[in-house]
Amino acid sequence: MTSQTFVVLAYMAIWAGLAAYVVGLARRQHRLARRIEALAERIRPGEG
Amino acid sequence: MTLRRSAILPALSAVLVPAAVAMVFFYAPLERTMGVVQKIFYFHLPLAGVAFLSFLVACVSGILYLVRRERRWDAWGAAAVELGVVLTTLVLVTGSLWGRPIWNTWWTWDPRLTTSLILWFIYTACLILRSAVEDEGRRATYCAVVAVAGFVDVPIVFLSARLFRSIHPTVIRSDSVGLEPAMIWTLLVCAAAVLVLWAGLLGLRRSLHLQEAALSDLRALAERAR
Repeated sequence: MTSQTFVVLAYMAIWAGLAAYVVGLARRQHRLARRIEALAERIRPGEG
Repeated sequence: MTLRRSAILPALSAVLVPAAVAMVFFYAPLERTMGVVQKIFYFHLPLAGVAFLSFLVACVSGILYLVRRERRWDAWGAAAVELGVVLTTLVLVTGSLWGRPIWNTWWTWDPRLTTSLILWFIYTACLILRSAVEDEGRRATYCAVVAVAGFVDVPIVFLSARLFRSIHPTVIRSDSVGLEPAMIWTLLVCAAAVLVLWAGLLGLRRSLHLQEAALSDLRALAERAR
């Protein structure tokens, strides 16, 4: 491997790693929104 | 036009990150002995800095949680530990990718590398602990204790290359910085970009933790009301 390859791999690791973390956070936020909707559905019939 | 508070950090990151990467490749001069591989350093060092900052936040919020028993401190701690582990992983990976062409090895049991790996293990254990304990109060207490105790390793990592015989370079010393002015400017912009990104991600993760905890409370209330 050439020196440039190591630099490219290092920068790819940084941005891919951070992007994967952000995607993970977004998925957890999405899952949370779904759980809130499910809870709202469960509560709604008892309201009236 | 008004910019929402939550959009300030992402907007700043969107400007600073491309500027930092551009400075690394088009502005910073080529280092004489290491050549192009030295360019890994411009993000490796700031990532290590914010990883340490994450563990400092985890330690302080751990102490505050143990004293006050307030959920918000557990949220700060959970966010900081998780982000710290992600950043330390990136530091170890980029360090290894720098070490292969420079030291001719992917890994060596050097004091700086070894103490950094120990740091990663300590806070990864904290993450595992958080996912393993069911009861919220116990989970927060255990994690706060690990976060506070684990922080002991941070100054050891920082000082390891200075106190012990280490092959890890020490670019920034108390009396001098072994870099050209253009390299210092590049490093500062990279540090600013990483710091802004870190602050944004920490806030996002903390808010997610609080929302999850609030939802658990609501579900428990709904169960009781049935």
